[in-house]
Amino acid sequence: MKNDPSDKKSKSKPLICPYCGAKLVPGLTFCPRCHQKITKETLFKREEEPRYKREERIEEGVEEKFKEKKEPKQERVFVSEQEGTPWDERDSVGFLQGIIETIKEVLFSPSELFSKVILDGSIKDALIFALIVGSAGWIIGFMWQAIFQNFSALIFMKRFGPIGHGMAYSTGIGIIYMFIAPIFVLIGLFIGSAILHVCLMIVGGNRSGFEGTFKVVAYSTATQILAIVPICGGIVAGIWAIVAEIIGLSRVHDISTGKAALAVFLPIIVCCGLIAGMGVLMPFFFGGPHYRP
Amino acid sequence: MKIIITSYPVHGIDHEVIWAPIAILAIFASRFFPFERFHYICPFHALTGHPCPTCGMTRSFIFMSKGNFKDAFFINPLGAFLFIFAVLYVIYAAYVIIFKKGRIRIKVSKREAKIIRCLAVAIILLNWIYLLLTF
Repeated sequence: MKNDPSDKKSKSKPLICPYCGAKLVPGLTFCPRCHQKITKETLFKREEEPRYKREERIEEGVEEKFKEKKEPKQERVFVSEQEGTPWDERDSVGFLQGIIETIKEVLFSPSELFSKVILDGSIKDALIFALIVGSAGWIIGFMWQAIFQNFSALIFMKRFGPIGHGMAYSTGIGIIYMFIAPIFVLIGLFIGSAILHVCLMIVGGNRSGFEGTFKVVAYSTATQILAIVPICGGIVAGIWAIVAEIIGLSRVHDISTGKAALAVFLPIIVCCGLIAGMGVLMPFFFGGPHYRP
Repeated sequence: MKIIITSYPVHGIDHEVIWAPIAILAIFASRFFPFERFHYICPFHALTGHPCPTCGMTRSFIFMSKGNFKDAFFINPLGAFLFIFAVLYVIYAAYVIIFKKGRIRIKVSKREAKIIRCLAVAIILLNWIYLLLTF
């Protein structure tokens, strides 16, 4: 054991994942960032390999094929030291900066953000993030709606009696909304994650468990901040949430983009299929005007 | 600006798999969804009396999906072009996904990205000017 070269190396150098470059905690059998299995052989074999050779292999696509041959199911590892999302590191970067940086990354570099998601067995941090950002998005969206409705009514309708009631009603609803928005976000988060996770299980893409799916949905709520943009902000936020969820699922569960997209679109496919099916079958059951037995 | 064709299997995010279903959804919704039943009034239009930059986009998509190209271009030219782009993108994406071909990727420098962004804003503004002058 004393002459084992791998032991010497492990003492002198920090352990780095040969696949993604993340810092590893000694004793891990699994990279918490890219979820690849780490063995002594792969670790030091990769380290000794010249850099230009590895780059060649990556360019030729050998690296990806090598990844695909790995075991599909990998055991979960709980880690203590790992670079996480900016929100995970809010103690060092600051609370507000953590939120802003996470939102920025979800909007502009979702792939990088979801690669940094830590699966540590706790959903508390992601839940708090989603509650803050999701509620803010809902409230801002509602505020725009109320502002436009009230002002357009004031300027064009000139009916001050009903408008006064309408404004009071909108303001009252707005205040209630501020308190109930987190409840709606919370319910939506869990139901949305559950549906998405079931779809993911149907397409065979569940590799990191419900926690992974929940964190993807939670961080994707950052797109709700696009509701700041009046009129089209809501639509853009909805589309970008779908994109972020697909990228997030493919990164966190380490599955192909196709599988992740199929899981996200499965509810829509099922609904459209049901509607189309009902449209075709209805005349047969109820005997429409053109029905011929 | 560099246009490259990546090797298959795709490394990283397969954008075609993400955006093609979204484009298909938009095309199918504009053809089959009963938008006319929802009397949506643009808040900007209601407030100012002028159309917003996206006013007529949905109607343009609906006209395009029903083959009424003239009305579609009249009501919102940008919407009509977007619809054509969406159809072309779906065809391209279906081809590369079904036949397992490499994907087209455009690599741009920071300066070029800035120019593209400015161009996009300019196109939206031009479209808006057209809407303001027409309606």
